Amino acid sequence: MEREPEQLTKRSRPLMWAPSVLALAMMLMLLWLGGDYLFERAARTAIPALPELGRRTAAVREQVATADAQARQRPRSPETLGTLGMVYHANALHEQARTAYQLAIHADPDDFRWPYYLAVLEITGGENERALTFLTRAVELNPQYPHAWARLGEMYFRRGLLQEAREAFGKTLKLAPHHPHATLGVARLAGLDANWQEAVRLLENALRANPRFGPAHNYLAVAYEQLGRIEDMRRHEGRGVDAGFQMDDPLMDELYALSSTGSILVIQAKIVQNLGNYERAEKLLRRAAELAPEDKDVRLALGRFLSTPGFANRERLARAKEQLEAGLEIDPTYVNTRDAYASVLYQLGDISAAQAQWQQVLTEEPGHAMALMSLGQIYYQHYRDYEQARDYYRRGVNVPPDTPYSLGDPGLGYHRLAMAHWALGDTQEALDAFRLAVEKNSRLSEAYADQARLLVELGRTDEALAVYEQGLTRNPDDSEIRLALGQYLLQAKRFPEARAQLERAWALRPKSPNAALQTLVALAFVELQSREVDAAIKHLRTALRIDPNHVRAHHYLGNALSAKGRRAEAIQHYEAALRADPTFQPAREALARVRGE
Amino acid sequence: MAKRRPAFSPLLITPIILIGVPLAMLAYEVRRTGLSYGDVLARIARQSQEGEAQEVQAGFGKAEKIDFLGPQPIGFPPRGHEKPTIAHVAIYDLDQDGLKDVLVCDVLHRRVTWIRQDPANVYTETQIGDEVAGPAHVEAYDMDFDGDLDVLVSSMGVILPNNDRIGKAIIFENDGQQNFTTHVLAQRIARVNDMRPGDLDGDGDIDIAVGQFGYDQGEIRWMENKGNWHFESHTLLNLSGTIHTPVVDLDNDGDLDIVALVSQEWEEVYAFENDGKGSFKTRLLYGVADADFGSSGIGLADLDADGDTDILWANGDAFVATDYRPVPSHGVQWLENCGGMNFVFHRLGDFPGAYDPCAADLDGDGDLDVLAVSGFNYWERPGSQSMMWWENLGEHKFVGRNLAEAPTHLITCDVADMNGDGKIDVVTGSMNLYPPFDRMGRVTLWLNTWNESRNN
Repeated sequence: MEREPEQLTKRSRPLMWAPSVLALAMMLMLLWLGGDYLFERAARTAIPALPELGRRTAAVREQVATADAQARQRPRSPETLGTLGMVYHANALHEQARTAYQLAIHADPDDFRWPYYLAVLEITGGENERALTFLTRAVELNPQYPHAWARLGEMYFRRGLLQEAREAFGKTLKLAPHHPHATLGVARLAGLDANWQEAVRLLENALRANPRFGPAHNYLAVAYEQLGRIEDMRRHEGRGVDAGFQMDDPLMDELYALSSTGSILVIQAKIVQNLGNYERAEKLLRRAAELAPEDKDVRLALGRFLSTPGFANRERLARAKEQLEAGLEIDPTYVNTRDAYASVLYQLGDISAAQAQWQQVLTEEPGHAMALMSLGQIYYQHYRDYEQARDYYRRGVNVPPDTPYSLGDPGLGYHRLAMAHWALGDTQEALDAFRLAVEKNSRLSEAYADQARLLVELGRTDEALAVYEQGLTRNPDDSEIRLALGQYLLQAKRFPEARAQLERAWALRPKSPNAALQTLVALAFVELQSREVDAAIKHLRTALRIDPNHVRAHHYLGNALSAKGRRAEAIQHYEAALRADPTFQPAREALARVRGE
Repeated sequence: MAKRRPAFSPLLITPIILIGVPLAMLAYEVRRTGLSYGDVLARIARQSQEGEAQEVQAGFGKAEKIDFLGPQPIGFPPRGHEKPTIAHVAIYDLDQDGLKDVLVCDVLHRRVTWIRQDPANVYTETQIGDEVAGPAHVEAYDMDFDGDLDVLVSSMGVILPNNDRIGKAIIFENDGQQNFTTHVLAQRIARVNDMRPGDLDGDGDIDIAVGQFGYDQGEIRWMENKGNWHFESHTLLNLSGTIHTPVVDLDNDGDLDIVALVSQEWEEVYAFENDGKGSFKTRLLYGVADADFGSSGIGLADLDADGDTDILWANGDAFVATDYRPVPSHGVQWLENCGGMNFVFHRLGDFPGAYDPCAADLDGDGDLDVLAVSGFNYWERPGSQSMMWWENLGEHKFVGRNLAEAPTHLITCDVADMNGDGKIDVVTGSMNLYPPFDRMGRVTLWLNTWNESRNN
C-alpha cells in the first residue's frame, strides 16, 4: 500500500509532464506570435501617416498609396520602407521621406542607399549636421560609391575641414578619375593655397571631360584672373549655366525615375539638360508627359526640348509640334506655348503658319519681343521686305528689359536691326546698331564680322580692322571672327596674314559645319595662291567630307589636281562642281581648258 | 527522507518564460532596428493609443489658415498691358509726419517712388529722384545728419541675369522738403543689390555696406564716408550672388558688423566682424551644400527673445535655371545666434518661391512670428500660396499657416503698424515676370484684423 502512490506517481509522471511541455511550447509560441504581432503593429505605426494629397495628381496619389500599402503590409522590410522613402522624396514630400528612410535604416543598418538618400534630402533642406552624419555612414557602408565621397568632400569643404575634404575628393577621384565635382573641389583647395596654376590645370581637364560643367567655368575665370590672364578669364566668364551642382548620380537617377509629379520631372529634366545630359532629360520629360498629359507646362517643356536648336531634326520637330498642339488645346491663351509652336512651324518651313501664330501672340502680348524679332526675321529673310523687318526689329529691341517677354539677348536684336538698316542702305544707323549689338553682347561674333564687312564696303578698312581687333581682344577663341578677318585679308591679298588667321580659326574648331567649310575652302585658296598645292588638296578633301556637293571645294580641287598634272581627277571634280551647280561658270571654263576645248 | 527536487518546476519555468521571451524579443528588436529600448517600447505604446487606421495629416508643421490680413492696392494702378515689376518695398515715415509711408523700387518704370500716407489711410504715389535702372533695394537714413531722411538706392542696371558692370550705388539727398539731389557714389561696377547705412569705422559719420550680386563676378564692399558725399570702397569678399548685406551688432560688442547672404552656387551666410574701427574679420556662419538651394533673402530679428540677433533666411529663387519653376527644397529657415559667432540652423518649413522673410508679432501675443512671400509658385494650381507665416509657439516651435493666394508673384514685403491701431500690418510688392497674370498686384497694403478675425 505504501508503494502504490509512488508507483502511481512514477507511472503517471510522463503523462503529467507531457501536457506541461505541450502547454509550455504553446505558451512560448503564443508569446512569440503575440510579441511578433505587437512589434509588427509597432513598426506599422511608425510608418508616416499619409499626407494630404488632395491637390496632387491621381498618379501621385496612386503611387503613394501603393508604396504606403506595401510598407504597411511588410512594415519591417527595409526594401519596402526605403522604396516608400524614395517615392515620398521623388514627389517632394520631404518629411514623410525622412521618416521612411529612417525606418529603412533601422530595418537594415547595413544598406548604404538609405543613409545616402537621407543625406541628400538633408543637404537640399540645408541640414548640414544631419547630412554629414548620414553621408559618413553611407561611405562607411559602401566606400566604392564615388558620388557619396564627392558630396562628403563638398560638405567638409564648406565647413572649412580642408584636410578631410582633400581626402574625400581624393577618394572620389580614385574611384572616378574624371569626377567633375571632385576635380572642382581639388581645384578650389589649390586656389585656397594660392596654387592657381594647379587650379587651372585641374579645371581645364575637368572641362575637357565635361564642357558644360558651369561651376568649373566660373572658378576657372577666377583662377585666370588671379594669374592676370584676363583674356583667358573672359573666355570662361559668363559660361557657367545658372544651375547645377547636381551630379550625374545613378542613385539619384533611380530616385527621380520614380517621381510621378510632372513639375518635379520637368525641373529635373531642365537641370540635367543644363548639364548636357539630353538623353536623360528626354526620358524625364516623356515620363512627365505620360503622367501629366493635362499639364500645359509639361507639354511646353517637352515641345521646347524636342525643338532645341542644333538638336532637332524633322522627326523631332514633328513630335514637338504634336506636344505643343496638345498644350494649346489645354490652354489656347498661353502665349509661351504659342510662341514655341510658331517657332517649331518656322523650323519645319511652314512660314506663313508661323507668321500667323506669332501675330496671334502679339495680339495677346504686344510687348512680346521674341515674337517681334521672329516676325522681323520672316520679313527680312523670306519676303525681303526690309522696311517691315526693320519695323518689327525696332519694336523688339524697344521692349523694356526686366519684363516677362523682353529679349534674352538684346545684342542679337540690335544685330538684326543693323542688318535691316544695312539692307535699306542706312549705313550710319546700321553702324550705330552694330555698336550697340556688341556693347550689349560682347561675345556676338557675327556682329563684329558684319560690322567690319560694312566698314570694308564703305572703304573704311582701318576701322574695319579695328573692329576685328576689338572682337578678337574680347573673344580670342572665336573662330568665326578669325574666319571673317581671314577672308578680309584674303581679299586684300595679304596671304601670310590670312593663312595665320584661318589656320587659327580651324584649330579653334568652327562652331557650325558651314563655318568649317568656309574656313577650309578659304585656307585652300590661300595655299593655292602660295603654290602649296598638296596642303590645298588636303583641306579641300576635308571640306568635301563635310559637304560632298560643295561647288567651290570641287572647283578648287580641280584646279589643284590640274596643277599637279592629274588631269582625269581634275575633270571629275569640275564635273562634280557643275553637277552641284550647272550655272557655275568658272568650273565650266576650267573644264573646257583642261579638256583642251 | 526523500531527496529535495530541484526548483525548476513548471510553476517556476512559466514566469521565466513569460518574462524572458518578451525580453528576448525586445532585445532582438532593439538589435535589429538600432533603436533604444525606450524607443521600441514607445512605439508599442504609441501603437496601442493610435490604432491602425491610416489617418491623414495636414502636412508637416502646417496648421489651418487664419484670415486676418485684408489686402488693398495702394499707389499707381498698372496701365494697359503692363506687368508691374516691383523689386523692393520698405516702410518709412519719409516726411516724418507721424504717418508711415512706403518706398518702392519700380523696375518697369526705372524709378524709386514714395507712396505717401497723407492724411491717414490715404496713399498717394510720386517718383522721387532721377531715373534709376534696375532699382533693387531702397533704404532711408539721415546720412548727413540734417534731420531728414535721405534715400539709398541700389541699382542693378538690369534685374535679370547680366554680367555687365552696370551697377550703381546712389543716394538721393533730401532737402527736407522731399526734393532730392542725386549722388552717384559708385558706378560701372558689378550690379548693386543692397546698400545698408551704419557707422562702420566708429568715426561718427555714416558709412555703407554694399552687396553686389553681379552675376559671375560680384562682391561685398563697405564704403567709408569721407565727407561731402565722397566714399572710399573697401572690398570684403569677391563672390558672385550677394543679395543682402544688413548691418547689426551681431556679437553684442558695441560696434556694427555686416551680415551677408551670398547665393548663386555658394549659398552661404557670412558675418564680417568689426573691430569697431572698420577692420573686418570674415566669418562663414553657415553654408548649405546644395548649389541649387536658391537663397533669396535674409532678415534680422531676435526671434527667440534671448537678447541677440538671429538671422531669418529664405530660399526661393527660381529666376532662370528652371524657367521660373520653384524647386521642391524652397522654404524658410532661421539661424539661431548661440553667441561667439556660432549659429544653429533651424528649418521652419517648405514654401515654394520663398522670398523676403521678416519677423513681426502678427498675432499680438508678445513673441515674433515669421512672415515670407512667394515670388515663384505654380499660380494656376489651387492652393498655391503667395504669402505664409509661421506662428511662434515658443521654445523654438513654429507652425506654418497659409495667408494668401492672391495677388500672386510677391517678391518683397515689409511690416509695420500702418494705421496706428497697434497691430502689425504688411506691405508687399509684386514682380510679375511670368504668367499667369490674372491675379497680378503691384503694391499691396494688408491691414491686420487679428482680433476681429479671431472673434469672428
